Amino acid sequence: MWKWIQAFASPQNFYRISKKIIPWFLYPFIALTLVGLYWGLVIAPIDYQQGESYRIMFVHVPAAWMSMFIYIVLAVSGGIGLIWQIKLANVVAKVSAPIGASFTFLALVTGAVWGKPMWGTWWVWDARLTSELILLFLYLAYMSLGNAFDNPKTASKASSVLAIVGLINIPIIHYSVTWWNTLHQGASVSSVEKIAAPAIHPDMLMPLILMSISFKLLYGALMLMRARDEVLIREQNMRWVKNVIMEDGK
Amino acid sequence: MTIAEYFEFLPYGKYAFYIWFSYLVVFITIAILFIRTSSIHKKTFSQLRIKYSRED
Amino acid sequence: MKKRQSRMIFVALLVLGVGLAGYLGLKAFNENLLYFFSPTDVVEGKAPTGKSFRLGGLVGVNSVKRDGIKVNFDVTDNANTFNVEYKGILPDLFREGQGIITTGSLINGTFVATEVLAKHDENYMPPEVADALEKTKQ
Repeated sequence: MWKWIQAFASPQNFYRISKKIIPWFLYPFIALTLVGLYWGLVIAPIDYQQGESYRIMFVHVPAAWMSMFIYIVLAVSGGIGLIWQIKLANVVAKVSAPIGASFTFLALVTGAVWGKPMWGTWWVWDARLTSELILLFLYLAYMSLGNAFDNPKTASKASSVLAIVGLINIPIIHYSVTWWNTLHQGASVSSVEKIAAPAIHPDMLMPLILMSISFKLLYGALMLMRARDEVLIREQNMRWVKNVIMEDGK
Repeated sequence: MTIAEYFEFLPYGKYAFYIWFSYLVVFITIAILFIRTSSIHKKTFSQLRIKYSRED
Repeated sequence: MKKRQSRMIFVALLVLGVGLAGYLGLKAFNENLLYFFSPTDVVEGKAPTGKSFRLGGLVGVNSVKRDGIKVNFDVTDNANTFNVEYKGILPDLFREGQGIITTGSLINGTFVATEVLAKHDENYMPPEVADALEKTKQ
């Protein structure tokens, strides 16, 4: 088992297999996004309270979910990198960070643009909004810490520790709307009571689900594409990398 | 006239500005992610090509 | 002990320590993380006195009185009620029965507001469904 995982996670194997996997993320991403956008912007009915404005949800909520999902990926692969010293785990963590930061940025911006017409303000310092902003700072700190060392091994170690420490923020973001009084509303879909009977009409839930799957696929595609190049850089003294580069463009 | 009122001619009327602005920001951000990914790819290959051609 | 095991223990301790620190930190700052106080919190004396704070609750049914840009309405949590005075622009979602959060201070029993924000719930449905739900309730 142990040997098998290490063989599978060898950089060279990853480089070969990932090339075949990427289209399986990329094309479904495009298809699901088109269907999701059409459903969310055209088919979905208006909301009884918020009218048309709630349509921002179809990008806001998937982006916010991704911001937390990718952070968990950072921490878990950081932990795997620390304990088992699997090179690939460190690569995945490193290339995921800017993608996660982008989704966090999107969650914050689309949230502000949604908050203005509905709440009456772009921003408040309530527990949900503040903890999501802290998440963005954690991503930025993670990225700059990873770039602060010349030795990629030391960089991976330091940033993995930071990712694990910052993991505490994830349950805080998720439960902020239950633990404290916030301006932000509670969870419509992602809570234990709501998962069986979401507080959202099926015609509005479908585009939300489609868009969140599409964002997951987008992350998968981007992460694999970036991981392939990162692997080449880290393994540049290996014979197989030289073969890959020299055979490219022939 | 506020900026939201200026864009009321678009679909979703009163909320057009907020909705289209959100989707535009998402589109631009995703486009930048893809552009960055491809520029990293090109940079990686050209750097490594130079390195190996020096060695040969 | 193998090297890998000691690294495993290091990561486990790290997770545990951070979790504990986070838990204690949140416990200590719990009060400050409350974004608003309900009318009942205020009656029980939990809200700060002598400075402005945020009051959150539902806009009382049949309580909104407009006089130019001056608005007067009740904020209630169905147990306690405060009268609110406000001058300014109200958010689109402001209506009777809607959840709101208002910043201001208590002056002679009246909450004089400087800002009114609307809070909506996590339910999303088309207006027809909302109407049908409303009818079955009655």
